[in-house]
Amino acid sequence: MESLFVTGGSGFVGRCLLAALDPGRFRHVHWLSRNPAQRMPAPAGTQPVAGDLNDPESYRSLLNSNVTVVHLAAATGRAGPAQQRTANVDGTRVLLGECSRAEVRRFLHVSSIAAKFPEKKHYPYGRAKEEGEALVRAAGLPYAILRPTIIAGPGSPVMAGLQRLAALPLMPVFGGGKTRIQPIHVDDLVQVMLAVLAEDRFQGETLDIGGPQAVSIEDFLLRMRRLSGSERRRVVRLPLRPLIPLLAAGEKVLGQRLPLSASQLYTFRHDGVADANPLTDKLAGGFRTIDEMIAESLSLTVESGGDPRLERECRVFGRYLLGREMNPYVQAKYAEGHAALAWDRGPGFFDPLLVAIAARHPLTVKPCDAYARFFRPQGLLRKKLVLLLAVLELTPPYYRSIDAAGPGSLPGLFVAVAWKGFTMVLALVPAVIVLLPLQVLSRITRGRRAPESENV
Amino acid sequence: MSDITVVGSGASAVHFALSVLEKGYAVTMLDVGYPPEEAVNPRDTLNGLKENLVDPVDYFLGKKFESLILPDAGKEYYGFPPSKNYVFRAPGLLRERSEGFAPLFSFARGGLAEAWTGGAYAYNDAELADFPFGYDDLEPFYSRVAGRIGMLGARDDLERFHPWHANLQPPLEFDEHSALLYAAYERKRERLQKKHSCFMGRSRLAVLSRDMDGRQACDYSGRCLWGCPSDSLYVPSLTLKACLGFPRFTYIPGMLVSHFTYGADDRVATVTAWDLEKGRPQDFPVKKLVLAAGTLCTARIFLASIQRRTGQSMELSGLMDNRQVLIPFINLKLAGKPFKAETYQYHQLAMGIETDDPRHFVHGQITTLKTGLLHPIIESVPLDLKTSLFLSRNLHAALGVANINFHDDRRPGNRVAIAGAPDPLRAELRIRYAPPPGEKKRLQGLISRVKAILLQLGAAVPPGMLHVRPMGASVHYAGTIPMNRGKKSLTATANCRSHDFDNLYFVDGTCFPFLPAKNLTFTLMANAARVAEREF
Repeated sequence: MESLFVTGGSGFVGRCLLAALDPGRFRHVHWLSRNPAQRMPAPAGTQPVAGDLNDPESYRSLLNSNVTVVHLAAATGRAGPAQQRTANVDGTRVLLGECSRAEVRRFLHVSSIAAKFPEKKHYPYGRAKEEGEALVRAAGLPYAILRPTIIAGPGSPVMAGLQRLAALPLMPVFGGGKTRIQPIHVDDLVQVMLAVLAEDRFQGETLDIGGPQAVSIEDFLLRMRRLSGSERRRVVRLPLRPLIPLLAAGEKVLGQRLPLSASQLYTFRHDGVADANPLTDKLAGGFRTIDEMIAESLSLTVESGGDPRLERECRVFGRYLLGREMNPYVQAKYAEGHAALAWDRGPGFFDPLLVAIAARHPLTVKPCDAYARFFRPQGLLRKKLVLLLAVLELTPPYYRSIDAAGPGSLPGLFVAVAWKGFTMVLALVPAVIVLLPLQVLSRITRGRRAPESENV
Repeated sequence: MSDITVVGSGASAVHFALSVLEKGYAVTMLDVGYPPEEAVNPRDTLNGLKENLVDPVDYFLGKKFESLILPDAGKEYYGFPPSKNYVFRAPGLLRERSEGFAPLFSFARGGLAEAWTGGAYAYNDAELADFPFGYDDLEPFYSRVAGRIGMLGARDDLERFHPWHANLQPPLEFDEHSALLYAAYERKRERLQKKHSCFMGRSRLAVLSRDMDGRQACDYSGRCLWGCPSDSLYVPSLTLKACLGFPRFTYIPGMLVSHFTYGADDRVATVTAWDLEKGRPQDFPVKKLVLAAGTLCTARIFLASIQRRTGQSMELSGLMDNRQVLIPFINLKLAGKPFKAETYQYHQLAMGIETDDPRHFVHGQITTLKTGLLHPIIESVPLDLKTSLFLSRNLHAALGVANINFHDDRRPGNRVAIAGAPDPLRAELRIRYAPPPGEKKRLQGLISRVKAILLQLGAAVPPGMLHVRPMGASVHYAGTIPMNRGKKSLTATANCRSHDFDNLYFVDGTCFPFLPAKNLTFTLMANAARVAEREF
């Protein structure tokens, strides 16, 4: 049984890889980190190793002919040129030297789509990645090189940066905005890595790894803006050509103190899209879409099962809709729905506030629901109620009471509907008095226009 | 090398293939061919599934809750069942950009009709006026295909729009709501015909009311939308199974065809497909190539082949699709009444509304909603959710949707082109579509008429719930390389042979010169069988 040695195990991709690994498939899974104890708890079945790529003593003993190495450790785009070189070139060289000496079984190198950008004069990260790839190819080991595009997922630094740009009142777009990107979710990248390992694809391939859709960077930022609840499309275009050398010159004087680096602007300069390959073609059907990645990145309330707030919501909303207690299956599916759909809170403080008021008691749901139907029809509260309703209409015994007919006669139904309509208006009047000013205040404080009422 | 190479496995492809196999030809079929999953608990009714499955929400809404219809979903009343996700799964390689059109593609084994609702209507002479043949030429093939797939229908007032042909089984039992509507029509027939030019009758359906060829008659399980477990609702993968029984048939799945090559003699020499498993292109020499990948994918292959050879960026004009309008209604006679879930789920009734031009009749299919998910309807009612839930409980038996279809003409501005990368596989498919001038006014007029007709039938249309579906949603695409009586580039002969390449055929919607208001699938199948008979 082989062992695995992962560099950069506590990094953004490394954490997801370790979580997805089946440790039972390996004799040992060691992961290298400069300070593992401080950075994250060790996933089950894995062992952290404190060390540094450029300090081979710290990991030499773990390498042998039965080990596959996954090389993830890297300094990323914001690091300065010297740091890039030390980590991405020197570190890779030292590691490869140790691997060659130990005659490790296989070497999986995770590079970047930036390695193939046609021009990298002011882009030390891209240059370092290209150089790192060349070292891998020359090392004489069975290897595979993966070049992921922009990697999305919880904690993605690039997505966070783009999100900051999209959130500005005047959204800057550098250059023409037509440069294409093809983000991939970190979990999908991990699936590709696992497939490389499982299929033993170490015949010296270099594979671009991208998500299922390629879009222009401007489209991407506008989608991000729209999904965050802002309908403004104000864009300010900034010239890319003079900015990059200007920032590069500034960095030489001020180091990395500028809010933006020349390296970061290379995303706007060259297409970051992946060439087709059999691995992604085979797996792409299950990859996350761009909208799903953006929704997750924007989500401030990605909630999971076992969350007491969600359990309470589910119970209160269930009593409101059907007058019954919700069983554990419904509660679990309600929580699963939240995790799968990763809703954002909507603009301002209003949506979470409305949910919090509604979830206090079945009696408070009615006015909040009536208000949301007319003034926030696509807001968070309506989504939560519809999710629960969808679960209930499929789950015994609840679906039977949803299917059961009521009064039986048309006049009886008219009377019942008239009464219910009257109670809705009664609930709506105080709700409008209290909630409308809060919604207006929420809009003002966010400086954004809420989505217009639709479907009324 | 086979005698004939067919691209695609949709409704046209499989009926063409079966017809030429029956004549003794050797056929190779190249297809992406994503397969369906096995039907779960095939003996359960719909409510039986809710009771017996360990995780019913997972089955009905999907692992990622992809069939949940949230309030921002744009008024669609059906969530697409997770069990049919494979129908719209696409290889990650394809790129597409559209204006005024929301295209749907299928790379499933059996194509888009794996998710159809079974409406199968023959074109009449008026609708075939632009075709280089008439109904008499097509009738034997309608009858042959009806015999293959198993169809039902009744002789009624709709025969004026949908000509009668052989091999129709008797219709299914009406559900209570459909029976009520039809009884109301029979009572008011004269008035509806005179005042609104409205005619009603049974839907012609590709469904079995009697057992046939190892398939069971409809058992009214109520699972139609979720994938018929007894195969009584026809899907093209059933015909593909029949093809696989021929020793001279070779089915190669996992192949995404990108282009064909041709020589100076303008004869297709090879077809190139991207092997999705191995991740590399593969060439197949061909004697005769039959493109049946669906109008848009066929256009892509055709244009990419020419661009690769000549460097010339061309475009195909005349793309057509049926505009559809969904009009939900409530039958007041059933308000407050219980409903029976174990019934046929899709439309059993259809209507036709005559206009000044017999080619432009308006076609409607009436679905009485019984076992579809209710939450998309409940959330669209302009009341709080609890009151809407109360209403839906009491109106469930009374709910229905009229799906109104409109014809389309070939217009030069509606185009399909490819652009971008020189590699045929990476090139972007570009679609541009604009509705005909005056469409809005025409729709408004017809919608008012349908509302008045429904009122005559005892059904009211609630305000604010009507939905004009975007172009592309009906997935009835056609018209990019039409059949033509003369010899002209970018057209085809009466037998769907290309005027540009001597051994190239198009047997999907590509060749249709006109698109009547009714579903084209049955005519696609019949025409494919006709081409096989007349040309091979």
